[in-house]
Amino acid sequence: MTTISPSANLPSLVDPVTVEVIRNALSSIARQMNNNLARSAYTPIIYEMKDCSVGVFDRRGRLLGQSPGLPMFLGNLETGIKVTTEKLGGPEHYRPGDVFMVNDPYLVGSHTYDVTIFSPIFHGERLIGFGATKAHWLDIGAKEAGRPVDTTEIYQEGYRFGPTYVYRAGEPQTQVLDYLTRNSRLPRSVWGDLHAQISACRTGERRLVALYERFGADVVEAAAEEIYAQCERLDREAVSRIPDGVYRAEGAMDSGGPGQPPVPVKVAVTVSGDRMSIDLTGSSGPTAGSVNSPLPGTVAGARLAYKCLINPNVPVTDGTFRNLTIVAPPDTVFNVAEPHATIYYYPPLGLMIDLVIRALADALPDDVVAGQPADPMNVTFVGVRADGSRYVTGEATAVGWGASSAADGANGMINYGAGDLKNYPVEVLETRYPIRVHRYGLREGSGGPGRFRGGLGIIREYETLAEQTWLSLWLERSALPGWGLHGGGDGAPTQGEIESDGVTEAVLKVGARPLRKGTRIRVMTGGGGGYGPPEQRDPAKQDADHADGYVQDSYEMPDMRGIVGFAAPDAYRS
Amino acid sequence: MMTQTQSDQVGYRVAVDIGGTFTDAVCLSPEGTVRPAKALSIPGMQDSSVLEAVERIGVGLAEVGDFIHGTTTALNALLERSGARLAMVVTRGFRDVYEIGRASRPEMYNIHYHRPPMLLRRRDVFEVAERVGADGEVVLPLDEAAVTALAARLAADYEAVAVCFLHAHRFTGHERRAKELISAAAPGLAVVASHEVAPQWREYERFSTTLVSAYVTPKIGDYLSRLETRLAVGGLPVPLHVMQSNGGVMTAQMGVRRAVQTLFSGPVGGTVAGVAIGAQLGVDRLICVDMGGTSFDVSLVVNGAADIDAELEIEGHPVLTPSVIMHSLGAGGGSIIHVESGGLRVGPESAGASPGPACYARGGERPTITDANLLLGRIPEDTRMAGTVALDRAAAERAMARAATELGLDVTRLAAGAVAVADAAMADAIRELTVARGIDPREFDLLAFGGAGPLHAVALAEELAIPRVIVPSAPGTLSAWGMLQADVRHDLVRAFFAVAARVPAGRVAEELRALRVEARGLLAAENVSPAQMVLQSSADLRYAGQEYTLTVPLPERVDGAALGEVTELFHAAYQERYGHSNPAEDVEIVNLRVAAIGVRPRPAMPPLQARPLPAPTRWARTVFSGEAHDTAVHDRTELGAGSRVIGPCIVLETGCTTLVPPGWQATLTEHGHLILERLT
Repeated sequence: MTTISPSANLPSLVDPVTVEVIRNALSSIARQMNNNLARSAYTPIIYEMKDCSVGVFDRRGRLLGQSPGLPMFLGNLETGIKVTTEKLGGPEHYRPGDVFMVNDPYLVGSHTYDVTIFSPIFHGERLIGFGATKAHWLDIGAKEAGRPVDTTEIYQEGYRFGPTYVYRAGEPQTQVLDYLTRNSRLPRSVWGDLHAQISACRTGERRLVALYERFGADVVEAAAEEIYAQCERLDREAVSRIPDGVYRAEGAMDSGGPGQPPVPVKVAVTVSGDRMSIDLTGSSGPTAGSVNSPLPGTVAGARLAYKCLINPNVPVTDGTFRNLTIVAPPDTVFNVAEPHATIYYYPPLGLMIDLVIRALADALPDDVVAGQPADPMNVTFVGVRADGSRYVTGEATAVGWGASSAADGANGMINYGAGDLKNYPVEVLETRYPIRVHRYGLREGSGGPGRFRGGLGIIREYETLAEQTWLSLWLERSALPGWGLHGGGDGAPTQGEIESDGVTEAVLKVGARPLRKGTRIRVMTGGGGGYGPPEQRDPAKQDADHADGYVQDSYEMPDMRGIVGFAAPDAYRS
Repeated sequence: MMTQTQSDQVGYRVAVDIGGTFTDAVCLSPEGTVRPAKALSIPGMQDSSVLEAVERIGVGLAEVGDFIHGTTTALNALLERSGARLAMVVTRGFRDVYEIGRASRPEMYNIHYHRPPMLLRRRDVFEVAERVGADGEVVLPLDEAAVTALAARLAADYEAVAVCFLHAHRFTGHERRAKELISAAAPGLAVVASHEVAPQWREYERFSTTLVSAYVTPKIGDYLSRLETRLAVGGLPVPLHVMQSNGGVMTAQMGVRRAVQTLFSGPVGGTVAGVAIGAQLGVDRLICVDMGGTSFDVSLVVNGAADIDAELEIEGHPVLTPSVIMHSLGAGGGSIIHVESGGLRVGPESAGASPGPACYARGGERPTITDANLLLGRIPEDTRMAGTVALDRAAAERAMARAATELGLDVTRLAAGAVAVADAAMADAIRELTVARGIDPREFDLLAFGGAGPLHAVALAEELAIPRVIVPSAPGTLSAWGMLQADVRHDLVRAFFAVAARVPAGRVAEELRALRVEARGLLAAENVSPAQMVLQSSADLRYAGQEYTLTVPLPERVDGAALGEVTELFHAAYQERYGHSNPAEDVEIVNLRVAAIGVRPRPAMPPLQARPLPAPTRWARTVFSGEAHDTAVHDRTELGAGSRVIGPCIVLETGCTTLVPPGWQATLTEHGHLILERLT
């Protein structure tokens, strides 16, 4: 059994200089692990789009340093360590050379595609911490290739692992590896990504051990306590500056899937002294489809909302969220249990983040931004190439960002939760798949007007070149566009169109729809909301907007009421 | 044949390197003696600074047989946003490829994020009807009449134009034709097409490279023409050469055509110097550390060559052009020491040159690393920074005392602690750069230069367990000296997609042959004789479907067996870099490359004479590990070959302080380099 000394016994061992040297080293370790993973991963979604997260943890599974990977994974790496330690019956059962995987969404959040791989780190005989990674695998044997949009039970969503040995005391668990690859449509990518993750854990191990050898266990561990305390103080100071109160906002997603009803989301942010709580009570129940987030993923999403407003530039550690409470009642879309499907866990979290920022609009007028259609806006094609090979390709589409009290919103940028997720170059897409892109650009006039204008959404128009192609489309925020703040106007709502044989059809979500050759698909993502009254806009900026074509002389907001149930955003303070 | 390729006929060799404050010149006489000189850099008048520096060397231009220049003109134009009025002509439907970029952001939790400002406005981007498919099929012919009509408008309003069409990296026809039409209709415009500067896929990165190139072309063109004319008028009998980002040189004429290659013309001199010093000392792996007032730049020499990557990013602009990998950290003497939530922090904010550290007594009130070095006696009090600025110890002490009180430390402890934090952060930066590339820093020597590099070098070496530190001769003008050691170099690349195991070797050989013909042509245009031409072929390879590539050398003769060996080399390189490989997987060729090198002679330098070890010029009180030591101060010019000084001591020269801590010794080599090693 590892002995745990309370930090109070160690203060004399560690001085501010050593603490700072160790703090920098821990950030550097996480960055290096992340570089290692990003550069050695097999699939573009990791190395190109950074759909991953890495961290190094102390012996109690507390976060020492995390590299900024996918923001939506913020602070849910440790749950994989926690559930594994519980299942083993205590940390004393870890052995050098162990590597574990967990991807059960009910245990570690998000969906089955996001696989947590971690390994314990030993200094001599003593457990000193963990290196952990989470990355999106392309295929884990779900009922269809790509990301099926119509699952209704977790059992359709591929293999699901609780805490499982991949290596045990250095021995590869060949039966597990065989299962992982045998049940995937893309076994080589599974193999490659798994090993890239293990390699990143090893990097973390090497460097944490080196840090222990240099400073000694007592000093590193005392420094860690001080680092947590510094982070905690910084956050408590920031939250104290927000006036106490309960801040609320609510809205609804267009739908929980093709043909599904809207999904209401309610947010109540309570600030009391130096503490904050985010309460999602009153939000929709679980949906019939896969728009469902298990609790650990909701915790990550709520932490991201908090981090967007509280010390966004300070590295995250275990001290970061100690003054944050998250309430998500069971049997809501934010706390689902087996057997609900979870592939599309993300969209309600995107709306929730946007609503948390909206709720605090009056309390933190210079920290918040106007509404963003915070959704991945996924487009997925499945088909067969001329040479008979199968392919699956999916991408997320950028949106317009909300304006602030000091600046216009950014044009065409990936949503809050996706961070460094990059778009797919047209030349790469067209070279690899029988698809042509006719247009990729900003959606003129889509930014909400205001003293500061909302950012513009995107137009991307595809044509299918193969005889048959299957399309899955996930477009959101058409009923509830990126809202304006403090007198600013709303951004344009998201729209989509499929044009075939001269007939154009408005669509938002479709699942694996077969398309004939020559079909055009137009994706038009929503713009960000404006900030402040439009009549206060600097005339020079107005002229520039026209000269650059960011606004249109006449633009009519399309009426989306016929397509989906309309729900206006609502925010109030009590 | 020009004289500069024939070593026995070359007279004086001169290199001039422009920095933010000083312009450094180094002159190498036919006998191999080195003469440095410095002139103040005059903003906006780099050519005058160059001539001034040359004059201070005291050699007539008519006697100079080789003239190399490292210029920051292109980089400054980009950083200061003072480049050309720029237009862009793009494929219809893709006006915003450049503005959108990859739609990603590096600051994960910043909801106020904005991309770095563009080099042009959206109104400066013009679509024309044309489209080529991924397989080369013309989906929509180029609307030539529209291009010609547009050209007239461009000529009126712009100085430079970037022509950027989809798939033009492989199918260049439309871009070539559009460029011809624009150049014909608007002869005064600088026109740059994407296939010329970066024939590689990924449209945003290629377009960005093209725009950066067009943006700096008129400035660098004007500047190099002006300088070359002034040098010729002054009697220089040979063409001017400029340093390139890839560590090679090219003629100024070529530099105008390949403007984007001059972006790192200034900073790479140090790395090239590293290659030359490594060769002198028989060392083929060096970590080159250049630390000045505001920045800390690390680059590597691996296997005797500068470590080069095929692309880089400057201020958020991707540039697909081979460059020495230069990892910069906002850490220098000016990094500010402060307190946050009860914790000590050093940087990233810097006092810069103005107001500068507190001890400059120019209004800086916050303590910096330079102040800490002064208070610790690591910089003697009577030193003049950069040869001119006197230091105010009391001001440094006042500034440090405020932060020290907040942390409950005494001033000396804080100063020592802040230096330790800065050293550790720099060591982490080196660790990330090396280890991420599968490199163990312990197998390297550390080459330290720049005003502050030799002061922190041993601490970095201790952190990284590097056994040896080299402080070169004249560390303050090392970059200029390095430029005299460079070869002519051009990197040619051609997109070539194939699975290595299935492509007929003849196709690869044929493409390479064409590239090599082009390469020889470029070198011949620069008056390189065939005997001095060296062509190195390589290929960018990756596992099927991956995006990142590794560059693997190709043999001269490419046949089936050679391709097999190259695949093996790739697996091995991948294993080394990432710790795993996948020999069962298909390996794809993505690009073929040829590096065209024109070997230039390196004059032998006469060895330094031995001298008896002089007595210290004076003594300083210097703090090491919390204790003050009496520390000998030596004047570097008084040391001779083989002179050995034992730490603790300080070796002082104009513009640079070398710190030899207790437990270390420093020996001067016959080449004039100080070698610092642990006492055994």
